[in-house]
Amino acid sequence: MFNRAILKTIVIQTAIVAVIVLVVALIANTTFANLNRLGVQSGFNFLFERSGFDINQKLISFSSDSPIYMAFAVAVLNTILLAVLSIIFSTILGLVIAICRISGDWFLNAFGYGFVEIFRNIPALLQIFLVYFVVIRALPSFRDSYDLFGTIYINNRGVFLPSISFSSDNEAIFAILFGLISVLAVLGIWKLRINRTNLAFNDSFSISPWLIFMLWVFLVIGLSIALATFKVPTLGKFGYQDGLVISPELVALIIGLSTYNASYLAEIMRAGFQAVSKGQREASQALGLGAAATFRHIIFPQALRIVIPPITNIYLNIFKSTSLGAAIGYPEIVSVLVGTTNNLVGRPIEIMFMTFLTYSLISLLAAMVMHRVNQRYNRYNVI
Amino acid sequence: MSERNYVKPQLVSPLLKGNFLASAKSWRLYTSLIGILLLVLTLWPLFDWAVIDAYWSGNDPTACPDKSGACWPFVRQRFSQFMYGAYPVSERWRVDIGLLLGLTLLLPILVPSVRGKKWWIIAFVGIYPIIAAILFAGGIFGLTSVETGLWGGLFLTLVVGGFSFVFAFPIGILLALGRESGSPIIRNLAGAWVELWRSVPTLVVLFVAVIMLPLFLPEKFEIDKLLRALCALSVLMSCYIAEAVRGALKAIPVGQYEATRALGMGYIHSHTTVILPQALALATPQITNVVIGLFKETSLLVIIGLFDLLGMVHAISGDPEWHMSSARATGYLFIALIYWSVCFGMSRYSAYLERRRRLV
Repeated sequence: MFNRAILKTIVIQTAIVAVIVLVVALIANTTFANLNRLGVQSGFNFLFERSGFDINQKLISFSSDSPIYMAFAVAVLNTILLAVLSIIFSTILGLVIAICRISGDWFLNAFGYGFVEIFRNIPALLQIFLVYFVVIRALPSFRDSYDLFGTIYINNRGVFLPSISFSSDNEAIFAILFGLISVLAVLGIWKLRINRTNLAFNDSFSISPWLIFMLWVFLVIGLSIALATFKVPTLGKFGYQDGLVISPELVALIIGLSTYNASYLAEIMRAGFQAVSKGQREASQALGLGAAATFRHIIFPQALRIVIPPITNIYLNIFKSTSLGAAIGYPEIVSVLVGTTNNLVGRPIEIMFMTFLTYSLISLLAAMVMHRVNQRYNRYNVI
Repeated sequence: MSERNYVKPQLVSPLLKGNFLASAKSWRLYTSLIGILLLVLTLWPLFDWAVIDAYWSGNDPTACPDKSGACWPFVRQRFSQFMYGAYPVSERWRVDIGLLLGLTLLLPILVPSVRGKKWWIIAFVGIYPIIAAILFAGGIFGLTSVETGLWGGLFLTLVVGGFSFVFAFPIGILLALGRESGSPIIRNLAGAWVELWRSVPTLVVLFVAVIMLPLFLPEKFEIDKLLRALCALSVLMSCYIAEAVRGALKAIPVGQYEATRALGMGYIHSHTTVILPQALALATPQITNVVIGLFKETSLLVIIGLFDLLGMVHAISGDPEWHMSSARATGYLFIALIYWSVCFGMSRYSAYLERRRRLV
């Protein structure tokens, strides 16, 4: 039997659900009426049509003859490329600024403080505009580009790097396999090191794993150089050819997003370092570790545990901020889907649905991965 | 935060005190040198460009013949457009009065020692938007109607920021209460709603509103771009505010809830008189951070074609008359200063509240 309180909650809940269902039904009804009135077609079959447009930056082959779903794939890859590069650069920059802030030196601290307070209080989009419309426009034209060692050229059309190519597919596959094995080897050595540490310095290895690792690295680098051909960009009539081009849009976005987010990351890292108890430092000093060793073995690993959750948030923010690329025409998800494709095929509902879903899924996936990382780092949590 | 010594201070090597990068004395000089070098190398060129090499006098494009320095005459000449956009000059007093009224109402809410905050908040969230909307848009009480297409500049940025916050604030509180509610249906619905919007970029939410909102509404409902943007930012901000308030609700001791129940208070009574006042006070620093974020996010309006502060400067500085000068760079620098002062001020306020709470 129901008592009054339970009855009341059930009535309220049912009422709320009913209202929500009603509103959704009403909106759906109006939307269908509007779509019919405007004569908008629906369905996802447009994805298989010929795209008819080209994208100036692509990681996989794409042309105006490719289907639209390939354009979507190109856009997703461009978004991920931008996000990964921005995350790498902002983390490095953030770490440098955080170290400046905790260094204890007045001038370095002032520099770090100034950096953080300036860049986190100016909108990311304005920073991107400043780089794109002011700094990059002010770079010289391709005829008098900045020349770094005759291999890298910087001008107002972007950064030109040497491209790496292999003479045959077999060699490319070989190189990729070799790279993969190297990565696995590094992981394996790392594991060995951890196990060795757990054996309480009972050293059963006659050769240092690092020596093997270094030999391996030399082998990999040597073989790749021997197999690959590097094409240095050469000056043609209308600009540089043959090289790997980083478009000005990508450069502006990476710089803008990195400076903006590095200011947040620096503050998080600084707080993380400072949260490590002073006793830890004193204990490591008592054990005879130097300043660098103390930072690397005592402070850094503990701080890492503290900062992983807030850093995850910033990384997700960086991923979401890649959509700012739409403002300066970088072909990421929003500009390709909502901009180009929607104008072309006029399926607003389907396209917004796809955009929404892509971002939510990637955000969700990233959040899950970072959650696992966090759990892993907190396995031996002692503080 | 005072740190305890675990070892007698005189036993700790001086290497560990203070500057850990420069633990050896001989290093200290180098870190300072690097610091000074970084400061000089970054600040001097900027100062040189913006102040020393800058063009200060004059009123027309001939005042800045080249790009070697900042072009302040451009900012001076277009200042009123940066502030009001294309709002008719004869009606700009309405904007001034409206914004001033808003600030006056906001002040008692922001100063922690003022009593009776509830009434100020109700006035600001409930009554002020109506007065402001009438003042800005006009059309009744003998005020000439000014269509939203003419709004722009800092005025538009403040309107969008202010109005979306005013809409988002109550919705955010309701969502937070929903997420903490005892009913699993409401809790999960509110949770899904908040997480859904938080997982996509602001720009996508803006495009959803611009493209989809007209489809959701009946044919005769014309909804202009500004309103669509307002809806988008309100929905998004309410989700962020919900997270801030939820964190505060979780921080309130269970004893408070139990005490209200022991006194026989109902859900609404206990929340309006006991729980929410405490939670909102706790959440104010977080909410201030959300507002800072919102203020910066308004710059995205330029992408959907509204002339907010960034959009206005972006549009005006493309003026071919000023082609030879560094008008664009100066315009950006100028609004960067505006954004910076507002955000920095708010972040100081948030830090002040945080400090104050720790002292209490």
